[in-house]
Amino acid sequence: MFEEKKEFKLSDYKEPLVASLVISLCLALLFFFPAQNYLQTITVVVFFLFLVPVLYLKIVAEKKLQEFGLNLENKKEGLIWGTAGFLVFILVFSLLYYFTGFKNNYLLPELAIHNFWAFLFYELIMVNFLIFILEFFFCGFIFFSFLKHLSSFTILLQFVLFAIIAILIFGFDWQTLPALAISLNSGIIVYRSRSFIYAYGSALLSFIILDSLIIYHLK
Amino acid sequence: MEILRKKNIWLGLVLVCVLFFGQAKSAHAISLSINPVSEMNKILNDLGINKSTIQNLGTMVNNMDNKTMPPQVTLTFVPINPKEGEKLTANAMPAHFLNDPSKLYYTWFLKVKDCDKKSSGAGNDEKCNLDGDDDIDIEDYKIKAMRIIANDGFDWENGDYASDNDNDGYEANWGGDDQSGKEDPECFVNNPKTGEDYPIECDEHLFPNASGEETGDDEFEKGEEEFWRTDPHSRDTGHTGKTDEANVCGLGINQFTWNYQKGDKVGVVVEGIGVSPTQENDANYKIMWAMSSKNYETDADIDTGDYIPDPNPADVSASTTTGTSPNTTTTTYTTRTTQEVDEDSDGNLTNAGNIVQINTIISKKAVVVASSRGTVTTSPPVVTTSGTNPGNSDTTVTLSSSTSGPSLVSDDLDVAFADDEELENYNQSHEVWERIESLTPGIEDVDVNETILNENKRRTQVTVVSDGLVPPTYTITTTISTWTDTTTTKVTYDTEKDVPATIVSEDFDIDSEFVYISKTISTETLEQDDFDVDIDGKDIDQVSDLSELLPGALIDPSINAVESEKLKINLVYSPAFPVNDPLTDGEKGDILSLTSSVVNPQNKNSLKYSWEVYRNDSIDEDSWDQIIKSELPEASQTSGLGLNTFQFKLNLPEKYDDDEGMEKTMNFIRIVLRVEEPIGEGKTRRGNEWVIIPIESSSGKIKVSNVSINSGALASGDEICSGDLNNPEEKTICPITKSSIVHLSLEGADVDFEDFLWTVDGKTIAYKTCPLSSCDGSQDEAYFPITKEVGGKHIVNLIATNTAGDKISLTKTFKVVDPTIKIIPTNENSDDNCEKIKIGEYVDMNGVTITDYSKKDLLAVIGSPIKITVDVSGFSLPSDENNFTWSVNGDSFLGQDDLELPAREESGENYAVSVSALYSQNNDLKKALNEYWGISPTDFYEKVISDEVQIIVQSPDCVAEGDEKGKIFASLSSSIPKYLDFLLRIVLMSFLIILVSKVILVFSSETK
Repeated sequence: MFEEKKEFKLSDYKEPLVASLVISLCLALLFFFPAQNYLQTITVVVFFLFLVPVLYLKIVAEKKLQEFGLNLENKKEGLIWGTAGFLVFILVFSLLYYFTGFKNNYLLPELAIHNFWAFLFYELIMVNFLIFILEFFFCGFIFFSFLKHLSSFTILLQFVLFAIIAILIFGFDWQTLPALAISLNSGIIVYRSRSFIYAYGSALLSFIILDSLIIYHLK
Repeated sequence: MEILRKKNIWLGLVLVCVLFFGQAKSAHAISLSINPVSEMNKILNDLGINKSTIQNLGTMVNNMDNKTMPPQVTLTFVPINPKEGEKLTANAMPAHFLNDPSKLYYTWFLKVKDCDKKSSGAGNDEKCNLDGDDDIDIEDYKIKAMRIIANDGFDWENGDYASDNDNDGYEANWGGDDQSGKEDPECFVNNPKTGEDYPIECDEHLFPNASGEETGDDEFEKGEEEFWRTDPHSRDTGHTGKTDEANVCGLGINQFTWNYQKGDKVGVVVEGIGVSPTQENDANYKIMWAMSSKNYETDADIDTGDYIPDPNPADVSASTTTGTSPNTTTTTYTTRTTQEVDEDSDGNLTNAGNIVQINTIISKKAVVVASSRGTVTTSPPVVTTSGTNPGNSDTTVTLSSSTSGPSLVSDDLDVAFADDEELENYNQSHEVWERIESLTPGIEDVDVNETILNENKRRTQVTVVSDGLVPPTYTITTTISTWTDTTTTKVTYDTEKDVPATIVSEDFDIDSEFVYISKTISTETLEQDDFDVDIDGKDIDQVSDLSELLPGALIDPSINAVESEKLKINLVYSPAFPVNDPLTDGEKGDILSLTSSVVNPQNKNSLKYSWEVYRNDSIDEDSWDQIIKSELPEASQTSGLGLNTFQFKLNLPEKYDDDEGMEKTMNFIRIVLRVEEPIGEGKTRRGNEWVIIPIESSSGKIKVSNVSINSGALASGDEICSGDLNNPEEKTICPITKSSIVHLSLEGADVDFEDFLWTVDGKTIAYKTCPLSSCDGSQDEAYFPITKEVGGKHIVNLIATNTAGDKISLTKTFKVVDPTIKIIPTNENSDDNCEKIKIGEYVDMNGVTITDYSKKDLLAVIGSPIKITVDVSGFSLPSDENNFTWSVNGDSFLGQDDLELPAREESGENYAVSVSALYSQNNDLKKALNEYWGISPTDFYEKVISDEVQIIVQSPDCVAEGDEKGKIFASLSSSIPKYLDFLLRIVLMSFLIILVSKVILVFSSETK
């Protein structure tokens, strides 16, 4: 009748704690590791948001990446929630575009606006790369490291961490808003589908459509 | 008494005889057949007076009345180019009124936008139809304007109009405020073509009236106060110093201010007295009105031909006598003259005793007209005919007259035939009317038109055109005879058409075989009112009719807008006597600077300037040859916005070929400035100004040299300020230190000069002791000391002349500076191991690219000695003495101006080098300054001057310049080691993280 109260054991939390340490170090080094140019900055991002977590999972935690969201299971859930997230995102940002100052403050590279190939490069290479890295770190590594213990609160955790990082780097403005929305969206999709691939697809599509909309109205 | 009466008669006769015959005696030379005209001509000839002059004088006097200027008023606006919503003031300037301007009545009228007549009923009634009648007209415009004047911002909507106690009425006088007490006002309008004034009825002023009220009646009750929106408790709501009703009358209101909006039109009509008095026996002058208009002139369209007598039957008395066949008793008339009767070639003329008969035999239907000349009121000539059927048999027509009538001539009887083609245009009565005209002053033209209505009827229309003046009493007698086959007679008379100047036979329905109609019309003096004044197609009979002309007097203030006003430009140039240096690289040519200022722009920032330069050998405006910008050395921009200054260097060839290939000498330059100012709506204001500048040509220059002193004697040393490549700016302004002595000399002159005048700052260079061989003005050289403080300028001028008339004027400017020393590479262009560091380039206003070098850093490569030197400016130090204190990486030592540093082996082994020296005047210089110019030793000073640089030592690869591709690869290759270093660090960091986490995890597992 009554649920048995679980006894607290540190060993039950060793993996989340060590993961927390790795996550903290990665995020701290993301900020403080000295990088003097773009190449070095990209290297820092790749190392501390992707390689180090991957190495940690493979070598230290000895986990499969599939367990951390790199899978295509739960297709139905993933597609439904991915599509829903995409539609909600487009709806919300269409309203923001038409009724707020968003359109005047959301910036795109000048070359991408006027050159279609540059636009493709920007969206499919640069944006794609960045979204994948972020989705892996926040919706994969962080999310699944704490999902067992925090359940749905993991959505909030990864969102708050991402928001802090994004605001510290870019500041809180119109430019940051889509990324924050994507982060929240992705958390929900991952929570429902247990895969960040659907969240990644939804986010990429959302950004491409949003940027296209902006460019269409700029011309 | 009887004797006395006879005595008086005799006395009178004697007196008459004495008077006449006495005169004849005294003037016995005058014959009895004296001709006054010829005698007067003789007198005039004796006096040397031309008769025609007197005649012209008389004509001029006769026409003097027509030469007076009618009253006029003109409007000006401030500001000239009003903007919407801006306060716009219209100023009325009346002229040719006899009144003081402050005593005139100015009735203003304002037609605001959308208040045209066509706007009525389109929702604008409340705004435009202010008098509440059926339409929007000039009265509404008057009310609009005079309300603004009378109201003057009073808050009328909250005004207390329940009572009126301010006694602010005003009684207007005809002709102005100063015309009170005069009776029988006489109002006039002027005909500008003839200069004559025409009387019109003085019915009412042109003031605007409140509904049911009259303005200027000395009553201004609360109803009018409310209508005019004035303060019922203030006598002078408009703050003009006059009462409210006087303000509505416009008394002395020669200004009108309102908030302008586009489309507004304003006008004013001014009432006052003209400069001409009336002809009445009183003190009155002509009361007249002047209207504002640019495209409409008062009375301009008056056509005197339209002045016709008033068809007022009451003023005409007429009698008509009718009868059947003429009374043959006319044979009782006695003859008076028989002359010319035999000259009639158309008929038989017979002298029948006492009767003059002019007989014409006609054989067909005809119209016979006979009339008399002169004034005939009784016994008119009579026409008789014989024969009963003129259409089928011969008929004799007889004109007869009595002795009391006029003499007859054959032309008095005129016969025309109805079937004659000429009859249609035959003005058979014309001559008669001409006679009337000759006897009737004031008639300008008589026009007779004949129309054949049918074979029995004709219409004769006679029009008399008057000159507009009142004709004297005259009598028109006309005799119209006609005949038909019938024997009955019927005459009707339409009095309404019985006008003095127009007699239409159709007025009489004639149906008689022979009808004699004698119509005598006698007019008394016609009144002035009988004449209509037709202005611009409108009958002006009275003052109130003038309101119909006021719409034509509305003026659009924007017509006077500023676009019609030319831009006024002031243009000045300097120097006052510019010198041209014709040498290709001449440096003595002045910089000719021109500065303009536009006096009346709307917006100075929108002015577009265009400068043009022309040259000529004389001041001949027709043949100036333009110099294009590319030919003008160092010319600033010639066209563009805001270019109110322009300059170029006078380094132009002295001789040039004009457009026709003729060689000319450039003695004058003409600078033309054209300025445009767009003012919107596609309109542009323009203005231009030019100056002609005499040019002095110079083929010489002032050479400036250092001075060396040997045993107290001055001698010229090295040339300075020659404008070499390192210091091109010194060519214009020569930097020089205080208390130094400069040697000046004339160099490169084409001709030999004999007299030289050297001046410094406008004063002749004077010496306490002459340092030259002579100082009598024949020397082409001079010395002068620099006496001004740092920042001051000395301007040296040389004027040289010779007896051949050649002259040059040269100027050199010196600026007093602190002495400086500067560390520079010894020889940058050689292979010496040191060079300046290029920071960048910039393009100046003339498009010249100038390289900017670092002032603090020099560049050298490893492996070679580094050679530097000291550039001394403003003074000189012996180069072979250790006058300089060098410091290299902290080690100080004395040395000369050149320094060679040991070669470095590694990149980055830089040198920090500084140098200092003491600037002072040596004793020889101090003595010379005191000896030749009396300068006190206390004016001298000493100063330590220094400079420092860092010499950056790099490997040759870094310094070498290559192509862009090479640079990219070089950059990449140079950055690869750094990236590998970075990568190593990040990899290590990553492994560290992994390691730590692994250790922690393992440790925690073991402690489980």
